[in-house]
Amino acid sequence: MISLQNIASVSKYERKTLYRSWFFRIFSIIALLFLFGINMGNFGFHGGIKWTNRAIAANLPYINVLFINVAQAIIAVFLASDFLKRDKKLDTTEVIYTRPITNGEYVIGKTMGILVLFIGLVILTLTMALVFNIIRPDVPVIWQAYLYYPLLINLPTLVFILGLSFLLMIIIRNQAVTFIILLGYIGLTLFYFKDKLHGTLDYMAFNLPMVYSDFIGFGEPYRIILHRLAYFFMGLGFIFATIRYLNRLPQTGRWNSLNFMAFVGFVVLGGFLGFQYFTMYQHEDKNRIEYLELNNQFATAPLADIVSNKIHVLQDGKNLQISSEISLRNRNRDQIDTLILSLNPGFQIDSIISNEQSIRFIRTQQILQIIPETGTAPRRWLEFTIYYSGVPVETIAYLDIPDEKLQELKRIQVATLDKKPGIISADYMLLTSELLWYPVSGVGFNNKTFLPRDLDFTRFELSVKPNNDLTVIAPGELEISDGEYHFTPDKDLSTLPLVIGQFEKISKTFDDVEYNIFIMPGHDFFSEYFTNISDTIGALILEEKNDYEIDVLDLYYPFKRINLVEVPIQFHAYDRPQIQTIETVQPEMILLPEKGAGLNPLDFARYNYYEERRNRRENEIRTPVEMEVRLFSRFIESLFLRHSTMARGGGRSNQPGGGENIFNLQGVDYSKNPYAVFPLYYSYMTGISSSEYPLFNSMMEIYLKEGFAATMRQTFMGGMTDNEKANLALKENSITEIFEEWDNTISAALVSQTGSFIFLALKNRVGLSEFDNFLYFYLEDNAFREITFDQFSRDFYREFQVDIEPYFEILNTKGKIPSFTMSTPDYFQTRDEIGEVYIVRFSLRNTGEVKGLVDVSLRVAGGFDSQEQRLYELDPGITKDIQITLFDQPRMMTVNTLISGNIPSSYGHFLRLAKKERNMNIEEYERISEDELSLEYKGEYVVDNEDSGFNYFSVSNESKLKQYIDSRKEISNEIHYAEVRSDRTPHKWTPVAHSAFYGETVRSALVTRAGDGGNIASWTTVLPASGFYDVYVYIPMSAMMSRGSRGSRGRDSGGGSSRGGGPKFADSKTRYNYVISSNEGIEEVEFPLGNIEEGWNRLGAFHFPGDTARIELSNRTNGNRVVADAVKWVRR
Amino acid sequence: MEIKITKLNKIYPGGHKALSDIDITIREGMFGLLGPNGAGKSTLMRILVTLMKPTSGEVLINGKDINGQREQVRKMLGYLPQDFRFFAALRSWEFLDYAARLAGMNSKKERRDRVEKMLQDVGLHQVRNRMANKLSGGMKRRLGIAQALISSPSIIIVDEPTTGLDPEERIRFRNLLSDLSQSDTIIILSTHIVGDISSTCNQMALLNEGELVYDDSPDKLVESAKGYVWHANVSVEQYNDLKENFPIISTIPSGTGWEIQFVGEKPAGLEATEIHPNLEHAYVHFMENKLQHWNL
Repeated sequence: MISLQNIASVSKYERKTLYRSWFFRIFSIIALLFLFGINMGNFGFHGGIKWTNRAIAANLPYINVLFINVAQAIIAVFLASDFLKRDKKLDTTEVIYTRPITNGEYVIGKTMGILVLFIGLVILTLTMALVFNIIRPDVPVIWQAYLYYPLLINLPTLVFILGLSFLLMIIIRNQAVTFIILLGYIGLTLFYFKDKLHGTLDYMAFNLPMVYSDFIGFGEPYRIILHRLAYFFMGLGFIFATIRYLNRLPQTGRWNSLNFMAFVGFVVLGGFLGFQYFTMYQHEDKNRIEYLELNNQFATAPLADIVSNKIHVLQDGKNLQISSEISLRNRNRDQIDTLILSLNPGFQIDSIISNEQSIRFIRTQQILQIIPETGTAPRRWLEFTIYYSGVPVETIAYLDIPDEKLQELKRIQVATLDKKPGIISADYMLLTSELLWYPVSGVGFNNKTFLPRDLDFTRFELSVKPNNDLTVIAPGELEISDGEYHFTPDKDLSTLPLVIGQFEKISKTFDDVEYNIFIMPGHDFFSEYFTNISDTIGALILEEKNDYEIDVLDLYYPFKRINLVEVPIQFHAYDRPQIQTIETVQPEMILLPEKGAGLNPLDFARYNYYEERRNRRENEIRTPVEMEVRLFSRFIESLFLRHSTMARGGGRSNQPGGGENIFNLQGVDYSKNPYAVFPLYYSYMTGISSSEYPLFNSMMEIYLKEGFAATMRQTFMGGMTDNEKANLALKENSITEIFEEWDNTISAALVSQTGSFIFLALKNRVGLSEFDNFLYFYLEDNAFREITFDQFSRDFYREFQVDIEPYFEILNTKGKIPSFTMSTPDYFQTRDEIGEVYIVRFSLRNTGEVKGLVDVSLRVAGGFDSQEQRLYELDPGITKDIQITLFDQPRMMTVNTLISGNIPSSYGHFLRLAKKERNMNIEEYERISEDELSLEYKGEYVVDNEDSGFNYFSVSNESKLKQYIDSRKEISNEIHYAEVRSDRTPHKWTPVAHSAFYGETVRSALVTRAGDGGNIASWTTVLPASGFYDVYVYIPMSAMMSRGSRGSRGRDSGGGSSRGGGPKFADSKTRYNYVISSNEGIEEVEFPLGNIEEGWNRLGAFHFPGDTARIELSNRTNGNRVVADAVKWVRR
Repeated sequence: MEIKITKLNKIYPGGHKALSDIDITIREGMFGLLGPNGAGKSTLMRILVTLMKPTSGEVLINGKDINGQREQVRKMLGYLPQDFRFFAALRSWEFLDYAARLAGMNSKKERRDRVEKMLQDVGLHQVRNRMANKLSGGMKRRLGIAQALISSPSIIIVDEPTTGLDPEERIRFRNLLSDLSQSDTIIILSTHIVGDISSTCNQMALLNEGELVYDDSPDKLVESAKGYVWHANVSVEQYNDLKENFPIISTIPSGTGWEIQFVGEKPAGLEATEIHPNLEHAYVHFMENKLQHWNL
């Protein structure tokens, strides 16, 4: 018999011994102090603390438990291995070993001793968390979280690591080696394994999604329990192995076999559970592949349009019983014998009935093949009802999203979130069309049609009988009778979302639009910030709405209501580069995360704190009403009206125009704001479908949203822009390859780039305003129905007699893109009879193989938005002389080469000092020139860093380890120009790009950190004749700017600086060291950058033979860095 | 109470034979186990206290097999190992309490009384709250014997208990063991300090290179050395000569030479006085003459 008394005795004294060790005490104190700091930082009382950290109340114990768990796991390794070492060393152990206790009692007692002590520490940690929790009035105490987290995180972790440590110590018999192996293992799980194999190896549960929602609790409780039990049982197994193989004669022989059986049994059980956990994911991965293969298989099947769909839903726990009364029409020219529909594979089809007769069907996973007896003839209708039931599965969603993206961790601080495409629980249902919860025509994402789903506008009706007391939210006019919710959407919709949950509703109607907020009871964290403007909030909304509709979009909100719906924090919608909608926005509906967690624009308290602080600092007095108006406007603009993920006037920003990312989450990288209302204005209203040009709709969306703005570098630090990367990718790959192999940002940039090219080319062809007039009316006329590309193309031709298809060739231009060379613009000021006239004159040449387009924008006096735009189309090999005439003074010219081999692809020229001329021809022109455009003049010999005469050599001072790590980094051959951090200039010569650098199509240079002169760049040319030459070096001053210190009043150089002083030349005190060499000798020249000009600067005149001449620049300098660009020799 | 050891052998994995066919019967009282380093004393002790398994042979403690009935045997044991110096961070009384709990004393009151008594008996009551690792060497050894005795065992096994103790502590320790041997208890004292046995044991065994070479009373061993122990004053040359041929027991410098004691037949021509042997002389004589072991 096992003696509990003996176990308790060993445990008690083990506990005492450990508790008295300084090692444990110091560790505990440090851990608690650290956690106190974490708690103060996240849940303390400083007004600037982010709301996100405490919005999910259960995160308070979760974060505490996670931190202490990692610390304990490390320390437990030491203590566990130490106990066996100690036992070996101390003869006191021998006197214990001769006592009548079993090995099991001894080892279990020791384990219990360590466990109890650590659990005590966890309790202490949670007590501290609870104190913070209770003191913070806006964070309710989620009591169950205080129980679940230690049970699920700490206990299995400790049992596992203790067992493993004991066992390894028994096997290895060396504490140091055991300790190193185990620490290595911990390091691997934390920093390498992380969520690999779906977190199967993450014994500390550091990456296991365990955020606890107020709505549904854990996202995947079954998986969490499987995972944790696996480690718990493995740990128990290891402990029994330790008992079995402890270096002490057992009390009796029979325990040996029992211990062995327990060891094997628990390890097998733990392994089995772990395997189950892993195979659940594997099974899902396999399913996803199967779904995609099925979609591919049926992708090209002829489709019928679902014209109407009356859906009736009966919710019974998680189970749904649904009938879908479908009316569809064959719009094809041929008969359809088998109708292809898609439906969530979790549902079972009970029957399909048409005219009281069953219709034959074949169900394979998500694919439903309906085979009407007589087929469906062209233009004929078919009506039938599908009865189906079950629990939908989530794996059908996002088949196009790559696995690594799906598995990427999303965190609030260290708390890992699930990423569920919908919510399926008895208390909360969130079903979007991504989950195929109702039958849709055709298939979802497939490799052939490239898009996640077809546009199919359907007249929906929806009736839902939810579980008791739950509220149903869906688009359309609502009627409730006998606990059944009936929705009738006003328009045909392309998608139908359904939300069922426990909600309270806040509702207001302004200007015939109903504004509803659905939140969980008790989740109103925002009303208190708007008490003074509750009466005027309607006017504010209308003002924002009108500004957005008139000034930004020129489109109008097409629905009668908008619902802001609070959804469990586990809901996640993925960004897709090929479409502009994200599932967070649905028709009439925006799905916002639980209590606004993770969204900075909903952090009202923090914004108010910084706003008040700023007001105090600047002695600005704002009334409470003014404050609330600003807060509300910022919230609306940042969260719903901005198309990028940058919020307006972030909490820490001193400049309202500055901003911060709207997300306060890790692991989210949206290329567009997923809460922007734009899709409600276009994407859910109409759309242009095309099997040949599937990206066209997305280009249209981008165009309507924001036009196509060129992005420009301020300094060369930023590396290549996404547009340039997209251009480079386009040079080498087809669009399909880019979407398959490149990351989302490049793909998104590609859509934007090609879109801007096509739209601007068309605009250039038909006239800028004419194009827009046509487009906006056209879209309004075709609201709530699908437009085919062919139809659009025909209508466009009818309007302008322009065939749009040739403009789409750019999408198939693998390996051929244009490149442009541009002369330095001349800038003149003259007068005509009315007043001042400004002229910008330059030449432009297309050196590429295909037609190209250049967008030239001129910012003129009168504000940032005052722009003049010109578009120039150039055939390959053509040079154009261009003169632009302006009647407002231009400040800056931006040249965007759109799709081109140019790097940078867009660049700016400041237009500062105009040459004053009289009697100039002020007529604007664009003339084809016979002359070749060259940046080199006669008698000039230029060597740029891109030329073959340029060489560089770097001496590496980096450690072998650093060199090894660098050599292991994946280097993309596509990305040539580096991103350089201003505080960390590279040790080696590194290529960078900027419009201020010298170059024809590629404006680049090399930069390196200052050093002992080991890094050398050299320009070599062969001069035609002996004689004196002026040597010039190209110093790209405007690429070498740094921001002025905050608060200083630097001059405004026109480049614009959003905060602090203006930019200034960062290297003005630097001296470069050149060596001028030829076979006549060597001469060293020290060249101070203090008084130089932008571009070419003369080093001096030197005598060269008619032979090889060479200029060297080393990194020996008094400054921080050296930039090597171009050198020229000019014959005297 | 009886320990019966029959044909006991222990061969270590490397092939070293530590014990060879040991046959001893040990009865109540104090039993001394003597032998040079490496003789197999500690191996025998560790087998007796169930820390080690013999290769072959049988050990019965009051009829209970040491291998088959370890639990019962352990209940009878109190053990003080040789190197009992390292302690965890426990107070003296806590250490004894821990030992008492493990020995099966479940009653808190009984345990408390017993701990108090043991602390009194070994003279550690004054330092009962002191951390065990802060005690002096002698105190630690006393605490060691206290933990061995805490459960009133019928067999007490102490391994080299007086090594490293100062004379006063050593005498105190010997007396403590002597007191215990008055009860119905077997005390096995393993040592290479002959004085420990001569002053306390009524039975003894001598191990040499794993074999039992003597098993009887200490007195008989002393008796066997009579007429072989001499005292002499010798010159330097004589001393050097004697040193080559006899085990010298003691050497004290005198004006022109040495005053020595040696064991063996008296050399012809040497002026020497016979002296009465003690156990140390007897041990040397036995090892020299019976086993030719003594290393000159």
